[in-house]
Amino acid sequence: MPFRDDIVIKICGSAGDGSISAVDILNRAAALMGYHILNFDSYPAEIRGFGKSVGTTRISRVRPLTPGDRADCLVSLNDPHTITELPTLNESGIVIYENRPGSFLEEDQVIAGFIMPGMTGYGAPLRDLSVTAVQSARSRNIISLGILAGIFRMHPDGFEEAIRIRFSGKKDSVVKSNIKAFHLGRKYALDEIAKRDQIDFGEQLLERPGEISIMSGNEAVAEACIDSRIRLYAGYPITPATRIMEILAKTLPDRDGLTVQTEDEISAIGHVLGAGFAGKRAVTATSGPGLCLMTELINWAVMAEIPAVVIDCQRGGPSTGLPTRTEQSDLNIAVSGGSGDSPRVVLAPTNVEECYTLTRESFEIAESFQAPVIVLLDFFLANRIEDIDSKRLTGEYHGEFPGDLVHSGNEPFKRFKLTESGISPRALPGMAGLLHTVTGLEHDQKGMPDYETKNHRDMTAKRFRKMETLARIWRGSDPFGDDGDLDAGIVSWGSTVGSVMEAIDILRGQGVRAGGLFPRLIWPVQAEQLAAFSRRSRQLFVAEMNYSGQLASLYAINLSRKFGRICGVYAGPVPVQDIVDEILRGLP
Amino acid sequence: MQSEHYVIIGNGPAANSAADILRKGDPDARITLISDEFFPYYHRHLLRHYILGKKSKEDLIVRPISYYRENRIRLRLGQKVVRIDLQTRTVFLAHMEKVHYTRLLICLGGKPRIPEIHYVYSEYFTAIKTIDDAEAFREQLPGIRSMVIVGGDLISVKMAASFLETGMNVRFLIDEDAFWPLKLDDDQRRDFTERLSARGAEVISGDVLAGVEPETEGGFRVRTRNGLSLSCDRIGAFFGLIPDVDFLVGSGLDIDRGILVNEYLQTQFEGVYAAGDCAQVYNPDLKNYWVSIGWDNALHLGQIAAHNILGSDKTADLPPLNLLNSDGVKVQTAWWRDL
Amino acid sequence: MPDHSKVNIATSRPDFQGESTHPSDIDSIRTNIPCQWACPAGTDVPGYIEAIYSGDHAGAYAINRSCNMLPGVLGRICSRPCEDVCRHGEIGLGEPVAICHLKRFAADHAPGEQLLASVMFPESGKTAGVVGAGPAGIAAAHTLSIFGHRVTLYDAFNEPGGMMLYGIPDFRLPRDILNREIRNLLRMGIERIMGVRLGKELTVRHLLDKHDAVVLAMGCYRPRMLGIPGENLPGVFAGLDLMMRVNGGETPRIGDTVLVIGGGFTAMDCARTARRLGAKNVSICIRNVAEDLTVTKDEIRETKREGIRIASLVSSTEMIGTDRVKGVKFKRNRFGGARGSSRSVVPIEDSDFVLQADSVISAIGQKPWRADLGPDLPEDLQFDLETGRCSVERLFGAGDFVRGASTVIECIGHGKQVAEIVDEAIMGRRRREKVVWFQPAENTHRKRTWDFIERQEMPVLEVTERMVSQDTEVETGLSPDAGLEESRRCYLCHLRYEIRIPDCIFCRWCIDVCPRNCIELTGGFDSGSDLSGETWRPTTRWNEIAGIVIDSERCIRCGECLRVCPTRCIHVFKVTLHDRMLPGTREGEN
Repeated sequence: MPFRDDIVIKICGSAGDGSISAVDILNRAAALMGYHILNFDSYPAEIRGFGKSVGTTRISRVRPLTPGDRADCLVSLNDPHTITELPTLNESGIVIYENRPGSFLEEDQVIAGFIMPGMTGYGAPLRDLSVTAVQSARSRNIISLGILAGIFRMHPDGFEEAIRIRFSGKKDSVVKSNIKAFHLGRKYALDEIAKRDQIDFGEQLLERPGEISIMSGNEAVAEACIDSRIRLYAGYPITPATRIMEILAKTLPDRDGLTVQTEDEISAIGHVLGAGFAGKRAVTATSGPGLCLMTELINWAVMAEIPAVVIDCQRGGPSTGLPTRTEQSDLNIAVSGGSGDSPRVVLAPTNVEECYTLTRESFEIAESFQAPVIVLLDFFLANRIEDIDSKRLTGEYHGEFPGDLVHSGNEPFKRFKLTESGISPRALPGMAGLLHTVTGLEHDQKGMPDYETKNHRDMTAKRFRKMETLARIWRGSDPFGDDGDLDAGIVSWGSTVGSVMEAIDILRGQGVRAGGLFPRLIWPVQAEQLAAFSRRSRQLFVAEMNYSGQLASLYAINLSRKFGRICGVYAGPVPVQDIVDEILRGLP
Repeated sequence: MQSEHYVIIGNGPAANSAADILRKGDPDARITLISDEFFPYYHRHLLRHYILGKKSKEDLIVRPISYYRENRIRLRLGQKVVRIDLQTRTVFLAHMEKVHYTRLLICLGGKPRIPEIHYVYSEYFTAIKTIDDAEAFREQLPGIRSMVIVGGDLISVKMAASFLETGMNVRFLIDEDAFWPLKLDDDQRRDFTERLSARGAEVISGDVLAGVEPETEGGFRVRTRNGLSLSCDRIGAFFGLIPDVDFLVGSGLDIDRGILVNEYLQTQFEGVYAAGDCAQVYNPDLKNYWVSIGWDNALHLGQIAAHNILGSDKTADLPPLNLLNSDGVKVQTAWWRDL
Repeated sequence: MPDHSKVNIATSRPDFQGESTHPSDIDSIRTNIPCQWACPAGTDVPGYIEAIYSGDHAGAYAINRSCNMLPGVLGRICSRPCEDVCRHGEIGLGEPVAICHLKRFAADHAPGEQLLASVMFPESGKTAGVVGAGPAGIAAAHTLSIFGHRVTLYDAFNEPGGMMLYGIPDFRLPRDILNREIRNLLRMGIERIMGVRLGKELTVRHLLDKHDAVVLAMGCYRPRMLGIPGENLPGVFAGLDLMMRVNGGETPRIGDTVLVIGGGFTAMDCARTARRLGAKNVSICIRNVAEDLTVTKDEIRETKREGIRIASLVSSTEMIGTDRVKGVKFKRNRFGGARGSSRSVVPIEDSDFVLQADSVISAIGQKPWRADLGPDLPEDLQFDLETGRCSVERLFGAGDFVRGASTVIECIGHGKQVAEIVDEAIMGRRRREKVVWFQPAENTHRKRTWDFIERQEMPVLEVTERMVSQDTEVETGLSPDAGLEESRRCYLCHLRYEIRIPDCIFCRWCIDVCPRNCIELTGGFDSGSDLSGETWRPTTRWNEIAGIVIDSERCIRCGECLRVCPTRCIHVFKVTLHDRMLPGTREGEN
């Protein structure tokens, strides 16, 4: 049996069936066994208890970059829902299902009937096993984990530990009965199911990892906010950003901080700017519709040179759009939303670890450059869960008010002094001798309104100069893939990067010299790096998850050459195969 | 108008040849094949080569799965029919799904038959009918050096020829009931025995299995009525095949040795047909029912049933040769000539 | 207003306890306890299987004894209408419970002494005569004596038992068992006058003069004839005659090759008897196919195991031979082609063939012997098939004599039934009625895993051991372990689960855990215009839910719902059917 060490498992049920918590345990168990995981759940947008809930996790020896285009194994805790997930299953996939339903159902209402030739179906009495283990039907999800462990010959220890962690804080009997349910399912699979598939993890454990964190993009952002010692979170809940607020609402009060649920997003950004004006670290998180409301005050932050961090977890749009679908279509408004020439910083992490590190950096950038920083996540990145070496979750901390930028000397304090870097000395309200005005009107170096053409020209240039400075000094992004000349060079950003990286690997495997450049600092653009990559690429592509090719349009002026756009909207992450196909089509 | 849904139970030659005709004749209809085997349509007569390792599993496949997709034939593998309701035209599957048909064709083939008198020994018998049986046997083959074959039928003879090639000791115990449902006359029996002996098998004729005991160190001891005691690693039970129609009892279909159908392969229920080894076909010239055995006959009957389902009036003509009598039932076969 | 309708007994009164004679409650036995309803004698099947499980074999025997009277006999040869309807045999649930084998198991393991009857009526001073000591006659006599009447039982043979004694072979029904159980039934002061035949030593007129009522239960003893040439040749036996001769101790010479014509229990018994008489090739020739045989599957399997062949789709047209039968000419049959539900067979023209035989046994059934009723009765005297009444006052008929050849259990059921009618006629009013008892029950002791226990196979002798003699019993009875295991399989359908809706919080845990989808959310209840109780409309829409019910007809009484219910709103009742004396009867009649 060929050894498979990369598998995508989906657990699908009705909300309340526990598919998400089962996947959560599976994630941790696999990570404890030394595997890497990438998990992406989808759940209903509306009423709890009646919609479809799907947990998807990819378990691999090498760090997975996407949840996989198609699943290898589909576990059904609710047949009608699972049937709608079937198109995402491989043609040679595995289906695990309840084999003792209580009554005959009509044609095509039973998942077992959909198991097409080439697929493998494993039936198990999930409900009865659950009843045996816990006297109710509620551990069918844990039973199904046991079945998975049995079929794929995964070591039980990781599962036991993961169950203990999942149910820590609950009564001992809860932990015990769930472990019992797991073993009952595993025993059933080992004793009763004749293995007919080709996936086998082998019973052995890989090298046990050091301390790991298993977290989603949103959780990484929240963690980074805490570690950056923010004092205020202000926000109005919106999918898919709400999780950040949930975490901070619980943690900030114990850390000399405050979470405020505001009446709307305008108020939220207002709170953040107030804190920034007062020299306190603050953040808000929102999604596209909220960012629209914030644009006016973000413009004000640009003009008043107030540090602010805005996390935008993008979702399908425009307007209310698709709350639980992923899309990278807020780039235009993030970069240029607002009136006037309004330069701001836009960062885009490409994985969960970067959600942490870039959020940490966003505070440093906002304060150093006295400007708003928008961090762009999207639904997929915000909700996907990865295992991360805890040691890598670090960042610099220079204090919320870097002292070297404070004015010194005898000349009158110029809050908006024209400097070579564009960065002016900053003072907080109430600092002795540093009286200054802050306004959204165009102002002179002291902050007093000044509408003279020259002043406006100088000040606008100064604000843009800050961006040039940042683009010059920021560390840049390492190119990926082949060195030297490329048959295909691909520029991409955010959560699409994982798919592109896997596509590049596939292309290289097929003999195409391929590489990628994935800017984390989207704006200001690091033009030299981009130009260098463009020169290396015989064919250049820009890949992203939106209809109009927003990054491609943004960078077109810098590239000033012919390039291909790979853009489209999907319900979920961009399928790797689509990217591969597009590029192969674009090659001569 | 609701379009037709042709449901075919079975995935052997009769089922597949019928599906082909149905698809050609009715491009818009739904066609569903249901089989309780997981493996797609395969050449059963090649199983012995598979057991000896001369063929791979894939070599046995008659047509690729893509064929069914391309021809819009729904192939339900590993799904067992547990009941048919002829009134509501519903097929019930073991995984608790109901499938409604407008026309039904039953091509179940057969399952290994164990005569009632040997029923108590059935757990000691090895029968090879499906690819799963063959796979299990193939894995054990290196440890099998001797085999006693009881009964005798098409499969057993071919299998025995293959086993003999490996140097295995093969003994045939042929009692009066062997070759069911055929009754060979003396000449036929002698012909058969000579051919088998020429291959190196030992033929024990005119004796009857009287007891089986498993031996502690593995293998079995077979006792006969005449007092022989034969030790062997495996007992091959080859008493022919019988239609696996237990689940149809009580459905209203007429079942004797097989499913009774008229010369048009139609049961007494409109739109319900049977073909292949599981059908017992009335023939007005013979004034009797007959059953067919073998691949080519199944292909032929499947096609006839399909044509009739589509509205023709084709009769299942009786192949002229090799008709044998068995308990008054005519059987069309020529199997031992190939030996 | 129905006093207890289909669903609202428990929902309105969780502590309900009591009895009901309401038609819908009586009918609930039919839908809830199909085995008991299917039994012509109304045997409380779940009751006795529960007793077996708890180790109370005497109790199990007593329950049987009070319903069907001959547990040891029926536990061997019953036609088992109960098993055909057993819920465990429904599609997807496995095989029916081995109800019959368990009956025998209880008989095998019950202590010897048995009580007479649990409820006895005081002496009435009336007398009844029962003619025929077969199952119907014995059942009628026994029941009439329970009613307090003096009963005299007449029979043409010297021993009571009728067809059970003369028609069923020893190897299926050992005589000591039969005799002991009959003795036990008749020891309630029933007078026996044996060796007297109606039309010879007895006349109906004489009996009617002597008794307040007379029940004729002479059974079916006249063989049906094939009506074909050569039927009277030597070597052609009537099936029942052969059985009676063999059961009477004879060993007729039948030769090596025997053809049995017919497909009932008698044909099977004849064929198997023929094997024991030394025949080597025995074939049972039937007009249709094995599926149409009226005997049990086990019986067919054992018959085939003894080397007996079944030749299907043949009709005999002539017995061949001059001074002795040499063979039978047959026509082949075919089914009539496309047609409705009738399974008619049609002989095929010119399809004749001959099978050789040394003997032929014709066992196509029997019919009642009406001719000897006597000159004082009309020749075409008709009996009501249910009540057994006829145009002659105080004269009744019971069992096969009235209804034609049937089974032992049907005869017992009918004998009991007619006895009640007789009592009503003698006493001028009904004195006993059916009543349903409801009792709160503890949760079932059953475990879900028990639902997957395989049906326990009846152990049988090896074929060679069977052939030793005619009276070697083939089936050896379930072992104590197997009996206990089999008793676990019974769902105990006499327990009924009901949800008290006002206490339900609609958490739906019971629905999740239910293995039969028998718990349904409802959109509302409809009271029927008749008295058949309420029905409900299932719904799956969360905003339509008005209630929740357990469909007792689907429910397999696994008890999982009860165990998960957080509010204990599910209640369990034990529902049992009893005979109840009507008021005023205990004090005796005036």
